[in-house]
This record gives sequence, structure tokens and C-alpha cells, in this order.
Amino acid sequence: MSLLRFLTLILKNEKAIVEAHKLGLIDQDDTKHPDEAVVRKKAAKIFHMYLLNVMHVKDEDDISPASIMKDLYDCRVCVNHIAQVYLKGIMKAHEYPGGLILFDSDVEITEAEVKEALDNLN
Amino acid sequence: MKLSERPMEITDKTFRFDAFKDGSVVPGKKCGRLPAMGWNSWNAFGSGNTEVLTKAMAEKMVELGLDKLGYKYVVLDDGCYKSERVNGLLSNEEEKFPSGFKALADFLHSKGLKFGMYNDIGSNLCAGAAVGTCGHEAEDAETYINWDIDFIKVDNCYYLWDNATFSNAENAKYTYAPAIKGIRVEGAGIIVSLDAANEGTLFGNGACICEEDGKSFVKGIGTFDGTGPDNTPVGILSSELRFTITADDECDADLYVEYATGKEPEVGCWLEVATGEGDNAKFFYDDLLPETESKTSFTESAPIKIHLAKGENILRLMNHRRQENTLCSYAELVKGFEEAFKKRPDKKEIILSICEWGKTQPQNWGYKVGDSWRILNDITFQVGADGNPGRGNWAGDYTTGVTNQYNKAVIMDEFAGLEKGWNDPDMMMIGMDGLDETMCRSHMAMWCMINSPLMLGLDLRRVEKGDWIYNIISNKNLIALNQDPLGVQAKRIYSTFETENPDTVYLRDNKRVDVLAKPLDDGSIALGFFNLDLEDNNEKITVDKNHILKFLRGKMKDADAFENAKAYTVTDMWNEESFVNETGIFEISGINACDNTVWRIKPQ
Repeated sequence: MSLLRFLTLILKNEKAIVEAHKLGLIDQDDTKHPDEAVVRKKAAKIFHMYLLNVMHVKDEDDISPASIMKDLYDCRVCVNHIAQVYLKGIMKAHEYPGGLILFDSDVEITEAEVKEALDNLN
Repeated sequence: MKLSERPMEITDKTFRFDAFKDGSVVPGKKCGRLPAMGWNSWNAFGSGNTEVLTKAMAEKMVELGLDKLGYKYVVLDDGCYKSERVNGLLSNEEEKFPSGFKALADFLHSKGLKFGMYNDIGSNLCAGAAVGTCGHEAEDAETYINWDIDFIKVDNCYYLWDNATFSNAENAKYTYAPAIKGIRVEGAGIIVSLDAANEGTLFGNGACICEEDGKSFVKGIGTFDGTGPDNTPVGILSSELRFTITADDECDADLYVEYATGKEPEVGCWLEVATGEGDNAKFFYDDLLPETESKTSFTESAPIKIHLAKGENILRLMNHRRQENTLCSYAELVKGFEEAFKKRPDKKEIILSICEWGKTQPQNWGYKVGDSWRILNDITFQVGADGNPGRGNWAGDYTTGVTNQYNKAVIMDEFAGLEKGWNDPDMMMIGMDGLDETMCRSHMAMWCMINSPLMLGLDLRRVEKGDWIYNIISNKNLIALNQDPLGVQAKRIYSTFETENPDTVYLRDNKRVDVLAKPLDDGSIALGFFNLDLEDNNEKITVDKNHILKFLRGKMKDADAFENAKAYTVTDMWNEESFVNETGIFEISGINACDNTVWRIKPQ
């Protein structure tokens, strides 16, 4: 799913990219790449910033329960984004046979996952 | 510039594992520097730092007089560049830093401060911008010199020659040797076949003998990943498979290795073959081996030409490339700076803060190129933003927490020093949510005792002269310990948890009190008691001068004067109260949860 499509689903706004930048959901450089595929870590960041900047929801203090996802600390700059959206039930982890639980940061987010996250957000 | 397709060929022995203990450094590495002090944007603002915020921090540093206390460097962390190069060069993110970095440098210099920036030895920065120094070292160094920077923190994300953060996981092929089942050596008068599991010797730590599909072989030939907290930093953290080959006469021979490759931790593709050690090491192979069908489908290599001396030869099959590649990459940047300095004779030095998070055991090699080296992954992942102080822990999950970092750093004193550089347990979290005043006092005292760089990581607009945060970060007595010209990191000389080898045993159970001792330039020592526990400790804890001397004698300015003193003036580093001790026995009776006592003990 492209960044533009992703943000349009969230903001329900034709000028979603500009709006998202104004709201602090994305960086200036993101505005130049509206067609870029959104991976799950990017989605987590945008949802987290939406929680903070639009919904004014406070962060969870203790993110250690999110370490159930074995790849939580693989993404050093997005650990908190992932942990917050996971702990608040916005985005789910992926479960694999043998009990392995991963966030799968670099996997592209699906339309179904976005819709589920939006349901959880609202 | 096209990125290289393979790790650098190593022609200079300085970059070899065998030279890690020889004390040699690359041209441009300056010795004798004390730990850097300043402010770094990451813990305070994450990727959201801006020119406006940076200037506000600089002005506050001066207003609070922190600059006069030694806090000089203002360091922009990740999130300040455009996401891609412009005409091959780095440039500023225009919305956050509209005036550009040279203008910001001029501003900071006009305030008497120094300017630090951030980059990465990989292709991208950790936050994603595709502006890493890999393959661009020369032009980036020139750019930085033109921007008048004084300090650079260099990360390790998207690194091409290891399976580092955000790197291709299959890069493990460069940093682990293949699984090895055996070898065959054929030369004049020699034909020998040796089985790895039964006739090889495992040197160091990490390699193991395995059995799969009815085959015995050796795997795990490489270097421990030190990013996480699980392994001790002390001891040999890599491994080799060695064979003893006896030759009747000096001769050339062909070595055949029965191997299987993988692209994952423990089984890779890159093999180094050498005989001898240290200065006498001779390398015969240092490259990828052709890939096999699977990591258990063994095949025999093409002949590798080796040379054997008369008598016993130690044949080493190994892969130290995790450390060597990373060292080479940092060295390439230092070389770039050296070249750039030639065009700017007025610019003489840049502090290099190595930030590969302890992954490649930089305590072994960091001194050759850098001024400090991070020892673990980040101290917090809950960084702040404008209006949000972020959050830290006393004892958190993984590497997050004051004590998580301290527990590793406190046994790393032998790796640090004026002629080397400093262990870096990350930026400080004083002033972030999650740590109370007592924890922050101990955080500051620990970082000062262990000679860590002192990088403040809070929004300084939250600090006023005389408040509790100010009183901690401006404690002149503790800063003097950190900046003591003798430049010796404190040694743990006692712990209530471990009495045999407190200086080297990696303790992670925080139900304990540690005692640290640090020799100082005036013949004094600093003695620190730290309660790591979340509960008060009511024990009487005693160390006498003989115990201190047992650990510090060789490092002290005048050990005899300390030993033979008739009395000692003991000064508390927090309240500055002094008392005279005539016994040479130093004792506390109880210590509150997470609290500390630090004394400066001067022999009379």
C-alpha cells in the first residue's frame, strides 16, 4: 500500500500527505515519496504520532511487555512506536508456528491490517 | 559513487585481530583526550530535533554555566539531513535546519561551544536517510570540515559487511566462517587428513562441535554479537578452529577445507586462513568460499596455497571480519578527515564517537580509531520530543536502564584509558521521566566514576539553576573525577554479590552494593558505594586500604604514600563535608535504595 493511500485511509482527506505533514505524522522528506510502500514499522510510527498529536493519547510508560515480539529491538529508532501501537492494541503482532511472535517491521502493511488498525484506533 | 561489492581487502596488519592488543593506532587518532562532555539531541528530541531547539539548548547551556563546567559539545543526532544526497553530498533538512550546518556551527562557536554531528558507516542512517558514509568517506569528511564540526558520532545501521541493525540479515555470511568438517594438507613429504571435531582445537569462545545428519563439524567460528546484554565483554569473544601440522622441512603445501556455507549467525561463507600469531601471523586466504547447497552439505574447497615452517605449525581457520570490517570502515572515515585537514590547516581535530553498540566488541579495537565506543544498544528507546521529556528506567528490559548499561561498563576499565579512549554506556537520562532524584544522582556518579563521556540528554529548558537536576549535572566534584587528568576508569573492587573477582565478573542481578575505586592525579582515590537494588541495604560495608591497593596499586600516582599515610581526609562528593580517617578502614553503615556515596580520600 502506498503512503498516499495509507494516509488517505487514516485522514479521510484528499490532501492527506500535506495534512499528515502538518500534523507531524510524517517528515518533510516523506512528502516527496507518496508512492512509497508503507512497511509495518512506518505504519507504527504514523499511528503512534496520530495517537500523540491528533488524539492526544499519552504513551504507555512500561513498554517491556512488548518485548514478547522477538524483533522489537531490531528497529532501534522505531522501538517505541511499535511498542506503543502494540500495547494499545492498534496493531497486532504476527504469530508463527512454535510460538514465535514477531512484529515484522519490514513487511508491507496490508489493506486489511490498516482497516483493522483504524477500527482499533477509533 | 558506487558502493563496493565486498569488504575491504586488508593489507595493513594494524586492522587485523592479531594487532588488537599491540597499541598501534591509525594516523589521525589522537591520544590523551579526556571523556567528551556536552549535550546530544537524541534522548531529548529523537528525530524531531531542529535548529530552533538546538540553539535554545546552546543558549541554556551558557545561561546555566554548564559550558564553564566542561559541557562543550552540542551534538545533532539522527534526523537532521535530507533523506538523500544532493549532487553526491550531504545536506541539511531544510525545514528543521533552514540556515544550514555551517551557520549553526558559527552560532555555537560564537557561544564558545563546540559542534557535533552524526552519521553512519553503513549506506543509510538509522532513521533511514540514505546518506551514510559508506563509500563517501572522503567527500563527507571534507564536507564536515567545511561545516566546522568538532565532533562526530558514527552509527552502524545498514552496514554492508555485517548483519547489523537494518542490514541484510544474510550479511552474516561475511562475519562467520563456514561450518568445517575437516581439512586435508598435501605438500612435499606431507599428506595429512584431520577431522575438525576430533583433531581440531577450538580456540577462544563461541565455536562449538555439532552433530547433524550424522556428521560432526565445527560451527560458530566468528565473534560474539555484543549489542545485547547477554555476554560478558571480558575475555576472548571470538573463536578459531586450529590444527597442529608438523612438517619435516619448510615447504609449500595445499590446504583443502571440507566445509558447508550458510548466511546466518554461526554459519557464514567467509574464511580466513593463517599460520602463526601476532606479528608472525601469515595469511593465506581471506575471502568468501563458494556457496554450498545447504549449511550441512559439505564439499571440499579448491586448494589453498599455504606455507609451513619446519616443525610444528599452528594452522588457524577463522573469521575475525566482524571486528576487522567495522574497524576498517571507521578507519576509512578517519583517513578522510586526515586528508581533509590538509586543506584546512586551521582545523586540527575531530572527536570520533564510535556507536556500533558493542556489536563487534569495540573495546578490543576502538582505541585504534576513536575516542569512545558505545558498549551496548540504546539506554532508552522512549526518547522525548518537544514538550515530552521521554522516559528512562533504572533497571529495564534488554539494554534499557541505568543499571543495564552500568553492569557491563563497570567491568570494562582495563579497555579504557588516556592512551586508548573511553567505554560509552550511552547518553545520560537525567531529567527524563521514570528516574527519581536518587536514581539520577547515582546515574551521574556512576558515569563520572567510570569515565564515561558525559552527554546530557534532556531538554535543558526544563532546568533552572539550583534545582535538583541542575545540582546533579553541575556537581563539580563528580565532574572533576570524570575529568581527572590521570584518566583511569574506576575499578569495582568489591561487590556484596561476588567477592572473588569483582573487577571482571559480569553481574546482572541488581540485589547488591558495588564498591568502586578510582585513582586520581593528586594521589587521592575516589571511593564509591552504589546500591543497585530497589530496596535499602542495611549492611555494614567495609573496605580497607590494603584491599584498595590490591586492585589499584599499579595504577596509582603514589601508592606508597597512600599505603603509609597516617591519616586520610575523606570528603563527600555530594555535600562536601569532610572528616579525618586514621584507620585506613572505610565503611558505610547502610545505603538507601538506588543511592550512592562517593568519597574523595586524600592521604595526609
